[in-house]
Amino acid sequence: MGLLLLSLVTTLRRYSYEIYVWLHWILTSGLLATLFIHTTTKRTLAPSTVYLVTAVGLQIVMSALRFAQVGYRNIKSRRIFSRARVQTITFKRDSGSDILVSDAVHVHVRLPRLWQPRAGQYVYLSLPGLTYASFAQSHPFYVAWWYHDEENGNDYVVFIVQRRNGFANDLFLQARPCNQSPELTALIEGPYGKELKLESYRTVILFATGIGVAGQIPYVTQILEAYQNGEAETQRIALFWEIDSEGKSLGFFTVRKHLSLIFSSFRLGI
Amino acid sequence: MDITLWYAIALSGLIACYIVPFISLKIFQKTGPRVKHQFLKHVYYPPIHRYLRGSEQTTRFDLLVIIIFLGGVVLGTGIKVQDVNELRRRSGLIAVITFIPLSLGARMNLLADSCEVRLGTYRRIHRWLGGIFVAEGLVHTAAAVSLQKLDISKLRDVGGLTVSSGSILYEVDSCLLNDF
Repeated sequence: MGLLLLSLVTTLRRYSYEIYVWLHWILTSGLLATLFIHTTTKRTLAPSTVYLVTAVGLQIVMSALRFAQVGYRNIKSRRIFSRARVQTITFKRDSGSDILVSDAVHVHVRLPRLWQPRAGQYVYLSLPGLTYASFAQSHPFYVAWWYHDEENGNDYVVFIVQRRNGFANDLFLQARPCNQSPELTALIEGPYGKELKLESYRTVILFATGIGVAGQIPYVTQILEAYQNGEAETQRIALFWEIDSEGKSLGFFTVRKHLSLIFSSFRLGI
Repeated sequence: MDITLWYAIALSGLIACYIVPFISLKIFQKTGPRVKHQFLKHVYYPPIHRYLRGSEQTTRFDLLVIIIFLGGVVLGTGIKVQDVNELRRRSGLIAVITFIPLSLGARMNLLADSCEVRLGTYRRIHRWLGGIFVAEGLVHTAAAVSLQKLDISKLRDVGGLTVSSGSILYEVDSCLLNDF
């Protein structure tokens, strides 16, 4: 039976990464159980039993930790669960109609309990209400930027998601323009990631390709903020962004607009 | 002596896989910036020659850790082994020991993050550990089968067969599709 299930894995994985992830987890538990059956001795302190018990215990502990972490991050007394809005990115032109960026969306997540976002952090985002299958999916995204909404007193983090197959495609299909997008429940696991301290360098050169710029924006934001507070020694920041096609350059203009809105007092040569 | 030997193997395996970069950089902070800069410049950052590398970014440090890990596995399995029975016993135990860090999870978790392991690195660590688990399992299976014939009526042998075929499939699957 185990053989039959596992033989499905190879073919399934190509078509659905999500099912593979769950199967991997379930079958590993099955593997552990089979290993227990396989080991001959029943002595409690035999090496094999000790190690197997350690492995099982570790799995249980890590699952419990993850559960507690997600619970802490997403649940607070008056606002249970984070809320996400999936928004399309629109390039606004002064004349003519606005152009919709066709391969990326913004996901604005309202957080019940804010952490201090730093550059280089990523979270696992799960949107259970998105489609029928998305309750079990969880994907890592870098935190692109964060803001505080004064009207409602809410804190938001924003992710830029590139349209690809699967979850990102579902996100894109559900995206609506700003203020029209419905609120979905979101579960955030994180934040993970280590920050590089770039403020002590006079010249900072950042490289990004395609959607990777979402990971570089917070570094730029952070250095500029530190400079405003007098804490940074950086004099020049150069961001080299390689993009594939003309359509994606529209995303560039929205990024530029976002940066120039926040830091209007700097000389941004773009 | 026997249990402590396995404990040493297990502990060194864990340390090599997870904590060496973290601790070494902390040590270098104490010894002064020059040592740290030399370490970063010559070992930690530079990627290895592209023919060795394949499609992933492997640095010299990664290669070092991999070599130490593989060396540890080979030593633990092979050194001073008297007969096939001993090989069977050792490889089975090492497979199970390797399974322990695997059970931390395929996804990023608090422990790995607190050791400042990056996401891509963590995935590769998981894949390497999985590969070694499968390899040791195969060695164990081969040794066991060469010693005595399989007896389907015994639950132990059925269990062993399931685990070994399952792990082969895991490994073939990962190698074929090569992205996690």
